[in-house]
Formats: sequence, C-alpha cells, structure tokens
Amino acid sequence: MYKIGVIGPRDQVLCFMAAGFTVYDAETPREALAALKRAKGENCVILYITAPLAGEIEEEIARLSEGTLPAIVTLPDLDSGYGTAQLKRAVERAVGADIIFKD
Amino acid sequence: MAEIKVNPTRMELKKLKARLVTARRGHKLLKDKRDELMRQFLDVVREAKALREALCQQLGSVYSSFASAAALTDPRMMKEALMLPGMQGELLVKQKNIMSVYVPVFQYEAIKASDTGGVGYGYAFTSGALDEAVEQICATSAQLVRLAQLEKTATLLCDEIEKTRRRVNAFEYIMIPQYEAGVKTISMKLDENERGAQTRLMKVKDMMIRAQIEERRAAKNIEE
Repeated sequence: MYKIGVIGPRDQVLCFMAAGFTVYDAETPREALAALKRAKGENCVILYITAPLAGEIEEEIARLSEGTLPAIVTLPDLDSGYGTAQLKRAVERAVGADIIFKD
Repeated sequence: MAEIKVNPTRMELKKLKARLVTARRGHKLLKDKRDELMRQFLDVVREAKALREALCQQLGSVYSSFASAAALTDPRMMKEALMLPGMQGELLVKQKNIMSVYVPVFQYEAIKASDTGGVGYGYAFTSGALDEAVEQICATSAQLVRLAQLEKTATLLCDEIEKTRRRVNAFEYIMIPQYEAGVKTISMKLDENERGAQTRLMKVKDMMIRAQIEERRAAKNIEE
C-alpha cells in the first residue's frame, strides 16, 4: 500500500498524523535528507517537506524525485512562499518568461 | 554553421533531399508537441497556483490552532492523541500519458477510522483547538494530495518542454539549414558539371565543324 509522508520539525508536522500521514521528524537538512531516503524506501509516493528544509536540500530533492514517482512537494505555508517561487521558476524554465506570477 | 561534407553525386542529392523532408516533418511534429505540452503545462500551473494559495490560507489556520493546542496540552499526551489517526486515507496511484510524458494520477479516498466523528482520541486531556486542527487537516488532505499531483505534473512537463524546445531549435537552426545548404551545394556542383560538359561538347563540335570546313577548303584548292 502506498503511503504519504510528511518531513519537518516535530511541532510543525505532528498534526498531519491525524490525517493518517506518516510523519518523519527532521530538524536539520541532514536529518531531512535521511528521512527522505528512508521514506522513499518505505513506499511513500507523496512526500511533503517543510519549506525551510526543502530550500536547504534542493539539489538532493531534485535528484530523488526524478521519474514519475515519488512526488516531493513543499508544504504550503504563508511565510516563505518557497513553493510558489518553485512553480514560478518552472514557468520561467518552460516558457522563457514568467507569464503567470508576474503580478 | 558547419556544413555537411558529401560527395556531389546524384545519389547523395537524393539521399539528402529525403533526409530534408524527414527533418521538416520531424520539426513540425515536435513543434506541435511543444505547443500542446505548453498548453497543458500552463493549465496545470494555473490550477496548482490557485490550489497552493488556498491551501496556504487553510493550513495557516491549522498551524495556529495546532500551535495553541500544543501550548495547552502536554507533548506526550499530544503525541498519544495523534498516534491513532482519526482518518485513514486510501491512496491509489495510476499513470497518465500526456504527449509521451508519464505523469502520476493520485486517487485519494478519505475513510474515517473511528466512530467518534473522525477523532481518534478522548476529549478529556486535550484542548478544543486540537479538535479544530484535526478536523481542518482531515478536510484539506484530499486537496494536499491533488496539489502533489499537480506540482509533480508541472515539474515533469517543464522538463519535457525544455527538452522538446531544444530539439525543435536544433531542427530549425542546425539540421534543416545544413541539409538545405547541402542540397544547394550539390545541385550547384551538378549544374556546373552539366554546363561544363555541354560547353565541352559544343567546343568539340565547333572544332569538328572547323576541321571539316578546313578539309573541304583544302580539297577545293587541290581541284583548282
């Protein structure tokens, strides 16, 4: 059976346990990377990671999420706007200019 | 631009013309593929953007409810309360082919695990804010899964668009002009050879006629 994992500091991600997601406690980028690898091995096809940690291990995330699965996504949060910035970067790469987030 | 080096023969010209036709056809197909990928990509990104913005708001209130619940409840009690999930989701993973890019399709079905209205703990030792946070997070889980699908699709399409654009450009600016230049060079060389042969023939004919005239003139002189 496929699992959904959430990686991040305990106090931020613990609430996702209530929704049946598997929570991986990670305070530092190194722990987050170890958790990512562990989660991938445990049949997690969707992995949410908190924005500050995702920003630190961007390259490793890109490497680990090659192919159709797993989907490694930044958790939406109001402060960083990291996930939106990533989408914006994807648009710039594909189209050549940002035509969606320009405002 | 480096020109392709080929022997200026009719055989090579024929081969090169066939390759040019194939290259033009490939270029057109890849251009169509790029346009369609772009259309799909923009649709996905627009939806992902709207969903992310909505989820940012919803999860913001979840985090604040959870933070106030965490402040009021003993951490061990908190973990214990959340140990048994109030909801168990069933995740089905399929694949969809968009212009030969395989993207994941997640089907998420939320099943409430307990009879207590989706809450897997007793109300005695936890704060009311936790109930609120749990309820909200259960409500957003399907949207979170949808966001993962959209963002993964966007990433995969983005990579493919980049690759396809490079291929289209390679056809448009390198291969097709090279083949065209090759065809032009060979046809010019062949025309040149043909003109050379014709001139030679005319020259030979001219020499032969002149020789005949000289011969006749000499014969006439002898008769006289």
